[in-house]
Amino acid sequence: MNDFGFIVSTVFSLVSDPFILMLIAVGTFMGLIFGSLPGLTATMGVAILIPITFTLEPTAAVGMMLGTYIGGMAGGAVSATLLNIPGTPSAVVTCLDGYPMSKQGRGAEALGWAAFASGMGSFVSWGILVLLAPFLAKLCLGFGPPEYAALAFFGLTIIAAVSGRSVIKGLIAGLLGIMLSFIGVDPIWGDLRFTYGNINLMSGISIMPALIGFYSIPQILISCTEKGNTQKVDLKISNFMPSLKKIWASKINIIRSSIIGTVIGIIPATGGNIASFLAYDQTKRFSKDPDSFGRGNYEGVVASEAANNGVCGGALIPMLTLGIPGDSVTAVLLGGLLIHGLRPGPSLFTDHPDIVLGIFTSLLIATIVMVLIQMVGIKLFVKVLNVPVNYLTACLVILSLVGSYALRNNYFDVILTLIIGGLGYLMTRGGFPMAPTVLGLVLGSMFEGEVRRALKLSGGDFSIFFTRPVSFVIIVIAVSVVIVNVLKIIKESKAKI
Amino acid sequence: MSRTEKKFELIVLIFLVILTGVLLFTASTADSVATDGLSSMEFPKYIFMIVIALCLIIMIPNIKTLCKKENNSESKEIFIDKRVGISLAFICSYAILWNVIGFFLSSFLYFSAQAKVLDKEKSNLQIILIGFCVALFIYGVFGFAFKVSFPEPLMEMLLD
Repeated sequence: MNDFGFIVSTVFSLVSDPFILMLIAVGTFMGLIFGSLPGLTATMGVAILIPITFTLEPTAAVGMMLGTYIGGMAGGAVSATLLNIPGTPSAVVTCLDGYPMSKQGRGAEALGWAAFASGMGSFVSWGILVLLAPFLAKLCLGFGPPEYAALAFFGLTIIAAVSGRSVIKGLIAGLLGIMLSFIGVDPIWGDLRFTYGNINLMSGISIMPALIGFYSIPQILISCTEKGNTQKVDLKISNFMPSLKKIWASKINIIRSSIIGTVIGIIPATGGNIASFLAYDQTKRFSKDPDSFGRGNYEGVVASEAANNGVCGGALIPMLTLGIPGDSVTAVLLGGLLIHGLRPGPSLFTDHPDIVLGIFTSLLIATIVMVLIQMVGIKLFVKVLNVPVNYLTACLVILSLVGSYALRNNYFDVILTLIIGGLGYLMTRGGFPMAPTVLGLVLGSMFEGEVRRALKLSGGDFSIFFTRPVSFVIIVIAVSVVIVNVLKIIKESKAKI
Repeated sequence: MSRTEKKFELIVLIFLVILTGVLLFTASTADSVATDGLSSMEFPKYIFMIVIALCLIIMIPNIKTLCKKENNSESKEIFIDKRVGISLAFICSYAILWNVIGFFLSSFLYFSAQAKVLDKEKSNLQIILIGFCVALFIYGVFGFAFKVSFPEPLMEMLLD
């Protein structure tokens, strides 16, 4: 991967392939649509669009998925600005200044700033990803089963952070995901486990039906009770493009917010909304006019959007180098990569350097395409907000079931999606978070397999996890994350009382 | 946490306890080819026991809360919205119809029915036209562009 000629030829072959460029553009466009629509998330968009990539080459498939990711994170600003409803959770902060700008007749200006800031956030985090990821991957080459087991354990402790109100419910959801990962062939002895004679379960629970079942079906059923957007939205395009003078004046804000987003993205389970809140807070602190924030100051929109798109590249760093997803979207992306036979981790950099370069290049192209699409097609996204919820719901159901079927052309996956979807709906209504279940499913088999391999190496002695320094440090960090999150929840509960 | 949410929580917990109990029984009675170290069912057994314990920790106080008399506001809570129930029935029927009348026809029928249920004020003609176009578009994109082999038993019967 260090060979300059190889890098240039791989990048050039990608950039000069119009089919791949078109796929990245399509993925980005779909991501923007999903991000714009309240009730739909970037996670759902990636989950539903992954099946479309099945017949594609891995590089093209990854490019399309990344485009959806980038577009999904940026699209949330559209409804946040025009309707005061965040299209994605990470666009909550954009509402604070974007909507007031819209009410003042400066909606186009707000969207222009959002598009530009999203692009800059993605670009900065791309730069950090390209510099840091290969270095981290090299560091991880000496990892053995104890280190991988510790990493998987660290990934699973993120459950504590994504559990929301109830850590116990989050744990139950996470363990349910791990339970689902047991179905199929035992990774060490090859026994069939929990298949009950069903040939379709011999290869385990497919990730696609599980993702669609847990993320898409419950959200669709819940949206059946909502009226959707009852306001007709229109936009006058003037002052859409930010002026160069204002861009230069905002340079510190853009760079600071982008770096905040990237760093937050690297930390697993933090996500776009934490990044955008932090960036907004810092921008307000350093502003000469802090009282104008919340009343239509474009700097607030810039901070929020630069940070939440900065998360994209940051979240990809642990996902690509360690196989640990940085947020819920990268957890789904991880599933998508696994479906294409690509195992994220240090071996991805040594065994598939072309794919890694493809990922870096696709991310940059998707960023540029995202900004261009928004600049050119912003009116189209505004129209999307006017699609009636009844048509949207029906369409999403069809796409969801097609998505689960298309992986193996197997009707059993459709049945599985419906069963998991029904369970997912009950869990959502009962206050159980979905993210830990997906984390458990994606990381469960890796965790079990590596723990058992490590124990075989040590002859059943658990001290192998604590005598190897890297493994020990990762476990200590993981336990600290759990303790910090539990203490935070206890503190918040006491404050409420 | 509302009473309705607690009821759903209890349903999920009961389901998980039963499911985990069955899986634990399966794990305990299964044979393994393991000669040393952990057998294939050891690790799952520990996980199942932890899940049952965690479920019981939440379930017991939940049952105690639900046994208390509900107040006026709680009695007005809707357990499951009618539209959700109908939509779920439509979705299940749609999946079953794939293998009866084929993907294209079932998608068209499902889209039209679902769209009408969620917005009765829309005209039938508009819904049918849009339903036809959506079904055709998805069939075209996935069936021809992405080479997904959809079940079409009716079409196969007609062609035969």
